[in-house]
Formats: sequence, C-alpha cells, structure tokens
Amino acid sequence: MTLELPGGSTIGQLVQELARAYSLPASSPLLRESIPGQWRPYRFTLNGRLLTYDEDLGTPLAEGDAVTIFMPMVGG
Amino acid sequence: MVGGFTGQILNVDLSTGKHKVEALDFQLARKYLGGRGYAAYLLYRNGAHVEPFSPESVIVLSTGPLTGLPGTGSKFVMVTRSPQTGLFLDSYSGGHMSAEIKYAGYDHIVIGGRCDRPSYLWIDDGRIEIRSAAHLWGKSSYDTETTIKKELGDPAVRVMSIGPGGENGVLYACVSTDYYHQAGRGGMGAVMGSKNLKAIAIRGSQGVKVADGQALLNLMRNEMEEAFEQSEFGANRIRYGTTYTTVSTPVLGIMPTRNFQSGVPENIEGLNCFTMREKLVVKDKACFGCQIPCLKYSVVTYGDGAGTKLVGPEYETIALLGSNVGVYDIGLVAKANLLCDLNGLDTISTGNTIGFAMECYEKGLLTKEDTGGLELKFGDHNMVFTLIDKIAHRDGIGDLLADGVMRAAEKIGKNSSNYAVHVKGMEIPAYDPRGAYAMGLAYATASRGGCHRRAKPVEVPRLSADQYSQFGSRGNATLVKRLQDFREVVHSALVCDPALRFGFEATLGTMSRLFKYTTGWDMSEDELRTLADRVDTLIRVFNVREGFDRKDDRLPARFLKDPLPSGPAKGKVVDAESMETMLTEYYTLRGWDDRGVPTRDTLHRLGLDEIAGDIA
Repeated sequence: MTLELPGGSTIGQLVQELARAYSLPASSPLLRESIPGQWRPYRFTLNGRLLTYDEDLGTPLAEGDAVTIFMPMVGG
Repeated sequence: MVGGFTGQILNVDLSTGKHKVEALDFQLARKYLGGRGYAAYLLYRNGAHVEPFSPESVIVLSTGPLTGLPGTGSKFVMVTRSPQTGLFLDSYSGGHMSAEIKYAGYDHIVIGGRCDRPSYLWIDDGRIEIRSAAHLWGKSSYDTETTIKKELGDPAVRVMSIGPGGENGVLYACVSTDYYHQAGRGGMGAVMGSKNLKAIAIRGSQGVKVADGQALLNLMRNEMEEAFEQSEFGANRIRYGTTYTTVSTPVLGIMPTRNFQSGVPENIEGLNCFTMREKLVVKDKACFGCQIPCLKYSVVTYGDGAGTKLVGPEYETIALLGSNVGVYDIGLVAKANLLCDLNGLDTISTGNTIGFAMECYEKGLLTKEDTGGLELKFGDHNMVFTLIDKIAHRDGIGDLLADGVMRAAEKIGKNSSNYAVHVKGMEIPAYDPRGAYAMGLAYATASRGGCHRRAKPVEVPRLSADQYSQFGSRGNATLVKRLQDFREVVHSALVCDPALRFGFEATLGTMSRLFKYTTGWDMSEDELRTLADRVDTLIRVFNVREGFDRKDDRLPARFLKDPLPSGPAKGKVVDAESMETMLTEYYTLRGWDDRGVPTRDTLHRLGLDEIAGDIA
C-alpha cells in the first residue's frame, strides 16, 4: 500500500498513521510500545535493510521509501 | 526415581538379536539432561572413527525429561555419526513417536550391529522382537507404516521407517514417522538402511511420573496459556506454521533462488504462506502434547500436483524445492515434497542438490551425456519429480546426486565446487547469509554442518545495533552463542523449540521452572547455561576427535565470492574479514582456542576432564 506522510515523518509516525487508518486499538501489537512492559512483536525493513530495535521507530522516511513490517519468525 | 525420566536405556544388538536394559545414570542426566545432551554422551562412548555404515556404528534414539508431557510439544532425536559429513549427527522429528518411546519405558534406545536380512524392530513395552521385513524392502515409507500397523493389528502403534533412499544408501536419506514427520538431515535413513533395518515399531502403555504434577499443570493452564493468548507469534504460528517465513526472507533478499544465484524469488506469490493457506490447507494439526497446531494438512486439487495429500510443505521445503529449482507453484512443491517423503529423502538436501545439478547443466558442466539424455532446466517441475525418483534409486544421474553436492562436485570437477552450496558436506537450507552475516556464523559453527536448527539469528526480535550486525560482525558471535545455548537446553529437554518460542516466548527461566516441577531438580539459569556449554563442547570434542577444526568452519565459495545480484543485499558477499572476526570471537566465548579446539581449562570448568586426552 502507498501512504502519504508529512515531510520529515518517521517510521513511528507511519505506524501511528496505519493505526489511525485501520482504527487499531491501543492494545494492538503494532502499538504495544506504548504499554509499559510490553514490546512490539514486529521488525521493520527500510528499502530492504533490517532495522535494529533501537533505531526503527525513529528512522526518518524520504519520498519513495519502502517499509516492510513483519514478525521475525522463521523455521522449517 | 527422578521425575520426567523412565530410568531405563534399552540396548539392542541387531547382529545377535539380543537386547539388554541398562539403568539411566542420574548423575549423568543432571549433567546432560536427555535428548541431544545424553545421546551425545552415549554416542561419544561408542568410540572414535566408527564408520557410519559399519555394524559397529550405533543409532541412539532419545527423549528428554519433558518429552511426553502436555503443553509444550514433544520431539525425539536420532543421533549417530553422519555418513554424509563424518560429524556428530542429530536429527529431530515431531509427531507422536516421542511420547510412545517414553511410554514404552525408555529414555534412550541404542541400536547397534546389523541384521543379516531386511528386518524391523518391534518394541512392545518390555517385549523386544526383530521381525522380517523382506516383504517391506523396496516399499515407500507410507506403505511400510501402513503394512506394519496392519500386521501388528494395532493402528495406534507408532512406526518410523525408511524408503528406497535409505535402502540404497542415499547420503541424505531420512527417517519418516507417523507418515508425515521426518528426521530429515544428514543421512540417518542411510544408516538404518546399512543395518538392514527397514523400520522400528513401538507401543508403550506406561506413563511418565513427574515431581509436582499440580504445579506443572498450573503452569501450563494458567501462565503459559495466558502467555500463549497474548503472543502474536502463537496466533501466527497456528495460522501459517513455518511457512510464514516466506514473508520475511524474500523481503530480506535471502530466500534461495536458482541454486542460491539470487535471494529474491521471481514469483513469491506462487509460493507464499497466503497462497498455500488459500489453495492447499484443509486442516491444522499438532504433534503430541502441543497447544500450537502449526502443521498444515494440505490437499492439492489442481494441475500436475493434483491428488497430493500430505502434512506440509514446510518453509525450507518450499524454498529448496520451489524457488531454488525455479518452480513457483505451491501445488507442485507439495507434490515434490510428497515424492521425497515416500522415497525417504531429505527435502532440503534434495532441493539443494537438484538446484546444483541444474546450474551445472546450465553452465555446461553436466551434459546430456552425463544425464542420460535428460535436460536439467530450472523451472521444469517434471524434471524435479524425475530426479527425486532417480536419486532415491541411484539410477543414472541419480547415483551421482545421491551423494550430495560436495561429492558430486568432486566427481564433476571443472570448478563445479563453486556452485556446491554446503558446509562440511551438508547442503545449506533456506537462509542466504550474504544478507545476514550472523547466519553465516551459525552455519559455520553448527555441529552437524550446514544446518539452521542450532541458531537462526534472523528470527530474533528486539535486537539493538550492538547486538546484531546485518553486514558486519558486531554482536553476532554473542547472539549466535546465546541462540545455540537456548536450543541446547530445549533439545536436551526434549521439546519443540518453535512451540516454546512462538507460543510462549519461553526463556531459560521458564525452562528452569519446567524442570523443577517435572524432575524435582532446582536447576538455576546459570546451571542451564553451563549445561548448554557442556553439551555443545562435548559435541565439539567429538567432531575435533574426527579431525574437524577451524579449517572446516567455512562457508561455501558462492557466499564468499558471488555477490547477490538483486534485492536489499545486492552486491553483498559474506566479507571474509567479518567472518574471521566472528569466528574468533565465537571461539573465545566458548572457551575454545584459535583452532576452535576446546581448551583444557574449558573442559575442566565444564566437568569434562575425562575426555581431555582425546584431543591432545
């Protein structure tokens, strides 16, 4: 999906925009960071680069950036 | 009696037909637990340099103190020296067999010798019998299991068996259990075949005693159930099982494509978890005692795969028998998966090896003369089906491929080893380390070769920049060791690590409590960390004793020399300097010297003084 955000927006603001667009409750796993003791079970890539936990929500976005949100589950 | 254990080890000599029951040593059980840990001890004591296909080799069938209990899923492990790699081999399987072994009264079953004719082993609690399998030889694993159940007059008997692949000594032949579960890697099926052992049937009528059943149930019913309900991982795991990985690895550009020539599948929509769920999956299934039905019972109703019914395919199979061979239809992958199961072949090694052969053909290193007139082209699913059958029967080009990519490349020559994607002879599974250097360290240090089961650094949430480096070394050695150590405990316990991690997000603290309520032992997290280190180091000594060290902890040329052509890791190879740094840091953390050999101080710290002389 394509989203338009104000200039200088971050991935954290992208998450908030998604929550608003899809009416996600505050308890949604995507927003868990706001609940004490909880953490979000998602990771982000920006144009394919895997972002680390301490940088992801604060990462600034530029026009045309591609963000992927996924659970870090692997197996087989 | 300590809870969680049966206290018995069954030893069977196939050469003489005799058996004896040995008491479990509880001091050793505290030292190694069960499963991978205790089995490693039992294999170690069988001696050095034992030829895998000789009567002197043993197969150790192991459970752990948590196997057969409700809540966390159960697995068993088969341990031997691998005919494919010469390394310690542990191969795991889910299903219901794990509990049956325990209920028959055994923590471990050690099988040595060789039957003088095709046979199967029938273990009915304390009654042990070796029966003729003349009428089963040549049959598929499915037919074998069905026939044995009818013969024994009990559909609830659990059966593990080999297919034609194991009979014909394919070096990556697997062992199938409960039809749909495979102890897949490293050639366990070939070792069974070399012993003329077509199958093992087990029926158990005993239970498992635990130290504090009420506390254990409370933990399962209350805390773990609550943890499960709150876990987004758990819900996702149920819906998609391992196939959810088809979301993450293409995004990272690390899903093997055309024999690892790329990490970006050309048409992931044809293979991904959403397509599979919509087109194939008719039912979710669970292994014994598991709250997370992550197995997918699938039926193919269209195209050339129509009529296929199986549990699967799992992620690794989708990647290796899908994008890695250029096939982008999940129904066709399911059929290839079923053919491997019927023939008793590991899907990872089979897909990797067929991809290798296709690239060699594409580059002119294999010709029609070599292949018996076959054209090995990426994307030709019928050729994949044909090659599976030829490999299992060592027919024509299948004979070359039945020994895996390392040996095939040695025979083909002409620099074909540049395209053989393996570590220590075991074909690499479905995560390309060029897009995740830590995965390279995990492959290089895995005890059985190119294996993803010891550590998967790409699955970890909440990693900060000093804990993980995607294209560097920082933090990776510590991370890989931590992940390996967690699995050392889980695989010695022996329960299912995806059930624990993705259902309950379990920690060593959870494990400590599970052990307390089950065994009665107070095992602190520190004790469990030391135990993990001990098991890992014992197995390292086994491998060092067989001649392996740092020179072998290497990635294949493809990952070091060929940059990924597209995707987020475009232009990347695993940087040699990063690899050396990670290895050195890893050895230091383990207390191994610069050659990767455990030091005497380390062996002393871990209570392994008695084996120090073996690697002097």
